Amino acid sequence: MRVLQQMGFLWAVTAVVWLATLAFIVRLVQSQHRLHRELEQLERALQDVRRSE
Amino acid sequence: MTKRWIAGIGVVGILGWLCQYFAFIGSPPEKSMGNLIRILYFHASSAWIAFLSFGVAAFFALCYLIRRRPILDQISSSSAEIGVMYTTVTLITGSLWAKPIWNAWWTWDPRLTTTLILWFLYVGYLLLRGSIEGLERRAVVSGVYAIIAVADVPVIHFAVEWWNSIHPQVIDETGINMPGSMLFALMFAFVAFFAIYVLLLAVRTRQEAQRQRLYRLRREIQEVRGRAADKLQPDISAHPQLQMSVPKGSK
Repeated sequence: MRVLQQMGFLWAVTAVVWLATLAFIVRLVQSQHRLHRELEQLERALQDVRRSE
Repeated sequence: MTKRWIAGIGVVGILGWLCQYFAFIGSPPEKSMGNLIRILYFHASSAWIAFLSFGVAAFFALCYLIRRRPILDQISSSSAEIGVMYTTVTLITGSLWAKPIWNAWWTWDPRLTTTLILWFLYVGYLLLRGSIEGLERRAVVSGVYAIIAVADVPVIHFAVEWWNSIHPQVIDETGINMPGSMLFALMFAFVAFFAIYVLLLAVRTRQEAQRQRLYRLRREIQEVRGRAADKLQPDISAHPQLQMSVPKGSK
């Protein structure tokens, strides 16, 4: 019983470590996509504004 | 995605699996703690990486204040953000170890309390950074903050010696207090976490550079639009009938 309980805590720690790392990576990838899209839009907008200047 | 990135992710993945193997199978249980000693490999490694992250953040912040190159600020802020993630992991894994050993999820032990203060300090750093306008001003203010905040790291290390603490000490003045097989698992976990940190730092720094480019582009568009609006606006001084008349007595 004690060993089982200890293994439960051990697996919980493992899950926390790897899920936190994974969550950080997912957040990075999501914001990377958003940044890429926004950069493209802004570059297009800047070209339009310069043309109309 | 380039081959270099794929190779980096592959190496980190393999190191992660090996770290898991050495922590669960490759190292023996401890006499009094049993299998709970295995939590230490993850907990201590994440704590060391968190301290390293904040040290790197402070070092590059200092370099930025001297050299004023944007890349130095980008590395500093990215490292601090990763440090917050690892401090969170340290606090949660510590709590999961404390419950079966101390029979409490949390105690106001000096080392735990100073680590929690460190977490609040760097969450504050991220909030401060997000609230300041202007790239240079933001870099200078948050850089000074990062240099001051890192002073908590040595306090955490010496908290066990300065105050009455029940937190176990892996490293003290006599050296590292554990047998070779456990030490190997701990050092391997540290290497694996360090590899993850380097990869995350590289990706996050690139992203921060793009973010700053986005900010500059926005400013440029605003300026160009402002200039265009100025050109369209008629010269009011040349047309007195367009000027507003101010009633007498009003302020």
